[in-house]
Amino acid sequence: MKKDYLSYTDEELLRMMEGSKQEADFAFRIIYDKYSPRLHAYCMRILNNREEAEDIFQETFVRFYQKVDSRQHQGSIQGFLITIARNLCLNSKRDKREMIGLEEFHLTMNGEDEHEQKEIFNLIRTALELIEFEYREPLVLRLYDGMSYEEIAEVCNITPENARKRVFRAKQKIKAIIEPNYREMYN
Amino acid sequence: MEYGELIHDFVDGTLDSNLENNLFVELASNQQLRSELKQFIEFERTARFDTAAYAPKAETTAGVFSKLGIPLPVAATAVVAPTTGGLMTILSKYSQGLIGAVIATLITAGVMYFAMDGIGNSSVGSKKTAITTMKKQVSGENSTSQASNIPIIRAGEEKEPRVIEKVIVRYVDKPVYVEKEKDESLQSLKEEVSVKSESPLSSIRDLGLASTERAISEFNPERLFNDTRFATFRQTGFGKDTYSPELGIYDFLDKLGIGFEVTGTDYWMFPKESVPKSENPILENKKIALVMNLSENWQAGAELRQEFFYHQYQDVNYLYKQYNNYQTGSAFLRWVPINYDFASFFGQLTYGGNIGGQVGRAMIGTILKPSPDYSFIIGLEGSGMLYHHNNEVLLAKKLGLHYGLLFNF
Repeated sequence: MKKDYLSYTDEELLRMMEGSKQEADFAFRIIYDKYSPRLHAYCMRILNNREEAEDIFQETFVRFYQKVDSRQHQGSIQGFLITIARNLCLNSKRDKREMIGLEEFHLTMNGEDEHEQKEIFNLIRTALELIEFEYREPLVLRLYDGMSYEEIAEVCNITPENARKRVFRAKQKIKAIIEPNYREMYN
Repeated sequence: MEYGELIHDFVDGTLDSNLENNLFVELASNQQLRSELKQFIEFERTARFDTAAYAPKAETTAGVFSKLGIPLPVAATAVVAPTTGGLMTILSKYSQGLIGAVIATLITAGVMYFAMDGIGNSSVGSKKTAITTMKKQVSGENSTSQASNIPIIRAGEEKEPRVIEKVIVRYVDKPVYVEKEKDESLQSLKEEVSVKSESPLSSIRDLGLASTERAISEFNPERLFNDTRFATFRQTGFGKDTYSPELGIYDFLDKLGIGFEVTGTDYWMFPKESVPKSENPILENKKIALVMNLSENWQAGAELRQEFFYHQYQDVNYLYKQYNNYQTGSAFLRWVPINYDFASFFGQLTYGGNIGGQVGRAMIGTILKPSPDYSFIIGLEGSGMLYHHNNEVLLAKKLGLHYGLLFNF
């Protein structure tokens, strides 16, 4: 009987990646299928630029495929992928300053029911772009990638408690940004 | 720990149960806190429903695998487009192509219509006129619809009535008529031929008197009528010579050489289907089509059919099986290289689409013609439907026995 691809553990997949080309390709397909949405979400919400995110996303998987057999990786594949993507994102951001400012943060509230939810989502996503990277990243890893605080801590080189605090602080910051519009929407 | 942090931990799923009770008590009486809870829930929902963030572009996925030299994966999410939506969806999807096809058809029809009227002696319609006029003359009918260059015989005229015969003496590009009075000398006939003949038909002048006489005496209208050059429509299965000497009119559709097909199909799917059909429509595997003659050997048409395609595809997670019903609209081109009175043989290519994807077909078959009014069509048809599963192009195949009726206008 064919094995469900979700039943392959990260360890099994990594072992297969170091096997024959056929085996490695098969394992890579599973890894891509399993982790590409989360990795893409990370790139998208960290970089706030679709084109740039696509490039980093692509490069991350290519590097993963090339490096994974030469590295005795003990952690999760997701963590490994995020670490590669994070380094690429940081490199990309190093030469580029955040261009968006509060003055550009305009959202029109039309108050129509059918659009209200979409407006809220847009509002929160835009606010997410405005907060500092050190807060945004743990929040994205937590909300979009579903990582535990231990995993976030590992990726961000901080303690788990610090990771939890940063996620909370990130939410507080977003709340502060959207508060005026949010109040207008509900009052 | 402030309540805001408690809310965060609660939504996060990490709040201690003792603190949870405290939070609920506070929430019951604190409107601002409830509003804050709502916002924190919205944060979670925003991430969950941020579909754009989770979906890499198709070209990005293709780029990853292309760079690594690995065949594209098949993800377990996308499926064949649902068959619901009906004809209007298909029409709107392919509206541009359909409008183009309709315009092209109308232009073709118009050109053919005026060509047949304007260039009388070189068109197929004119050939029919020639044939029928021949028949009338040979059978000695009197009719007001006679050509103007043939004298009308009226009873009681003082002059001795002349018996006019009109025969074809040679067929080059068009019928050439020679009039002669039975009592006139052969010399006068020769002169008349010389006068009436025009340059393209100068060869007629070379006909000797003897050959003219022989042509007249050997004239066999039935044989001439069966000449393939006069039988373009009849032998391709429809558009028979429906000209009525009594009415003296042509049917417009006959002029265009349009026929109407109603056919059915029996199919074998590749691979063989192993799930039941998605539905059982009344007109299962049936087709209607309009067919138009383009020339003696070419026909074009448009068809609409109800049909099934079986989809089976595998990805890393599942084996998908779907046996779906589609309404497919198509255009086809038919080549009829072999024509006999009783049958013709053809090859046909069809291209169209339905809500699931593009459809292409190839068919070889025969048209049996027991009557000028209708024909039987039978053919072996291979069909393929291209569809997508998570950006991968897949092909559903089937081989079918195609049979039905072709009605000739």
